[in-house]
Amino acid sequence: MLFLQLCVRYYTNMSLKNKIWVFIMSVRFYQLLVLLTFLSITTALYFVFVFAPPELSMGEIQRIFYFHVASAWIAFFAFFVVFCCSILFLVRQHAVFDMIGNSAAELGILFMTFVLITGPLWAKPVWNTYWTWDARLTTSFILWLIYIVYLMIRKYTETKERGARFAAVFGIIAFLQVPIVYMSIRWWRTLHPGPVLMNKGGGGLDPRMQVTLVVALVAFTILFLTLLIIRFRIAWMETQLFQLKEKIE
Amino acid sequence: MNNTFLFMAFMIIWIGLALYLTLLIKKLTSVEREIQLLKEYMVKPKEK
Repeated sequence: MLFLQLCVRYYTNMSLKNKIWVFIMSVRFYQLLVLLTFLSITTALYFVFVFAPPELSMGEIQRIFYFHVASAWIAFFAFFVVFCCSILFLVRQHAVFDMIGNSAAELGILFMTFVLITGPLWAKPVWNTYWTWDARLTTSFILWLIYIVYLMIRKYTETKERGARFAAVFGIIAFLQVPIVYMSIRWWRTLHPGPVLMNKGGGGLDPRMQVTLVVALVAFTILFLTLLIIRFRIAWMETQLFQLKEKIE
Repeated sequence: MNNTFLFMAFMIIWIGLALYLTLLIKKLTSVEREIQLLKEYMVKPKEK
């Protein structure tokens, strides 16, 4: 009981910033996140496979669209997080931004890999080929390679601090590729379909398909945030471990 | 045929996510364990 009172007193004396920090690192927060992710993904699966109607010309295969677009959106969002954290790291020199940037880059690559796998699987029955070197596909592949280089820079630099600085500079420059990928279907003639959501006059998408796409986007965003927080926690604990080892030596 | 590709895409995403999550959890537990061991190691010499 005394311990509990001490905990409550300690918690109430903390600043808001610290309270948020303690909550983010608590087990309860993780349980809540995992539950929220599970519910949102289950809802998204229901919408994708039951609620959304099949497309007229492509049929069932068009359902890949919801995973493909959601993965691409998350990859772009993750690279935007890397971009923001890189700037913040260079300005404020705080290791937390570097950790978040690194975690987001790793997740961005994971979701970009999903884009590069689901795209060809969708393309084969529709275009009769898995891959073609057209503008959207090529720029997406280059984007994926750029962020692999981002992780390699970190890995192969002599010291951790220098690696973080190089990666931050690279993270800012690398983000230039994201608008190029996004605009590639407008700038060049490609096989890839045009924009379906942010298009003047609508993309000709059925309202039920639009709702399903939004649900899938929200579910994937929650999934991304959960994975990002878990990955960040690992990075944070690795730093603690490194400091402990230094103390012992 | 179309359904096979849809199934493949769906399975690749979920298997990929499951593998990544497994790796994360494995890494998290190993780092936690290492920290715990180091903390115990740091306390023990003081007790002696």
